[in-house]
Amino acid sequence: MTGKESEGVDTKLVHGGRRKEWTGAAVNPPVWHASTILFDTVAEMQAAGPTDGTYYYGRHGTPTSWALADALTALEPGAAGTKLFPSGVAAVAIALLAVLKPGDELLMTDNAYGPTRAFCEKELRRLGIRTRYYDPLIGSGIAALIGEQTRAIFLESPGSLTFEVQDVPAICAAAKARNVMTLLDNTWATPYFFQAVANGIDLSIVSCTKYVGGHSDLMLGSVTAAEGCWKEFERRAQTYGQSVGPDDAALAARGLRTLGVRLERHQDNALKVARWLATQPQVARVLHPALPDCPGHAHWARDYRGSSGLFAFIFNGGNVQRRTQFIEQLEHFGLGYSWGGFESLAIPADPGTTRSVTKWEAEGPLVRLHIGLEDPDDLIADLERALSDY
Amino acid sequence: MVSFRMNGGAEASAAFLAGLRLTTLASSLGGFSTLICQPATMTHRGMPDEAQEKAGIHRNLMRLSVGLEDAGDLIADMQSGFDAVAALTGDDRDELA
Repeated sequence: MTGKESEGVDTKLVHGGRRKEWTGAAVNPPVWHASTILFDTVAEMQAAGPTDGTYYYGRHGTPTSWALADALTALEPGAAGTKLFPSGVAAVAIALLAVLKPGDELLMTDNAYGPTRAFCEKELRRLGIRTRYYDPLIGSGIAALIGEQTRAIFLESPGSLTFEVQDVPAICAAAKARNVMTLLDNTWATPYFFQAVANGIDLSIVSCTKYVGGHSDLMLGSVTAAEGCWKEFERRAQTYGQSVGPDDAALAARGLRTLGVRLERHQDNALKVARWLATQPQVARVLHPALPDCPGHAHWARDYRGSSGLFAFIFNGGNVQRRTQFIEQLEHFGLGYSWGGFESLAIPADPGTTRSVTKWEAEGPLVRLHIGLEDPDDLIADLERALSDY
Repeated sequence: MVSFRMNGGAEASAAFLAGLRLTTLASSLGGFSTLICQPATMTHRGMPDEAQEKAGIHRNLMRLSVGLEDAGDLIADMQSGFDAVAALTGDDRDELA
């Protein structure tokens, strides 16, 4: 069943990628394991090509991965296609490599995810590609940083530790005026809450490990490309040989069907917890894009359709030892990397060590919370117990 | 889950089901996608006509398992089913009466 552009996003989640030729008689596409694809004649073999969505060779996917990619494309109006990668970091790395060449300059947001920054510092630098960092709240001021060598601007909105919401349309407009590519890490909002391509982004990157999978049991990334750059991106990305197994693609496609209902609940629960935290004397600030105190909140209110379950708060004084005690006292919050699953997580983070052009100033140490699908009152009671000792 | 009875006879029911685009004709229920079932000819077709009638499983009964799609899109889909019924020719309509 193919979707219509006018259909609601919830309908697209349910019907995306479920083409009859891929699903057969089943509702969701079955798990297609295949490396070799057999052809009946030499002529048929020679006529086939490594285009996603057609049988050629397992590295180019099977109906399981094509259905997931197709469903993700349908969520981004204005997009022409999606490539899948074995992790979110792989998606970021290949997207950058597909766009940049030696001698180019990349403008990178200063609040970027650690592994994204590390890729710039270690690999891009080694390849002769210069990374220049910019204030995530720079907005249309980015125009002044675009030079002759600038080839691409990378955005992460909101930043996954400090939650600055960027002025995506303004940055994209400045980039387009100078023929510069834009890439956005859209993992926090997903296309459910923020349509990146419609807001001007060329390559929309999602770590599907988080909300798309939704159950903390798979690694997967995606890059969805706007109409004008899809063909070239597909051709370049293909040469890196990245491939996603059908089991993970099927799990992600299964998660995608309930993305809407899960995100709505993550949103409600996170807002309840965030608003409660904001009233506690031990808490100096809550960094949640939907709360007015969050840097870039006005951009969120203008451009985003909702908020997910990830945010941070800053203690009113104290130190990292007391933060450690606080986190270890929590009973309903797991201690581990990633987010977007059904369960709540709490981690310590120190953003000051991974910035270069913006200064991190805070009243105390920071804790990042992912709010899951538990009863939010249980989460608040848990936080209250741990806060009383801080 | 919701059931409803169609006005009109077998042709109206068939035209309605054929006119749906988003809603899938299938026996199951409880999944993420919306399914519609005509119990008399599908899940309960093994029952004798008399037993069906007694149990309220009329020929024009439709059972809907509503999924997670946009509700407005589902209502529009039901409307296109009813439009397909309305498009039946006048002669067919006489037979429905």
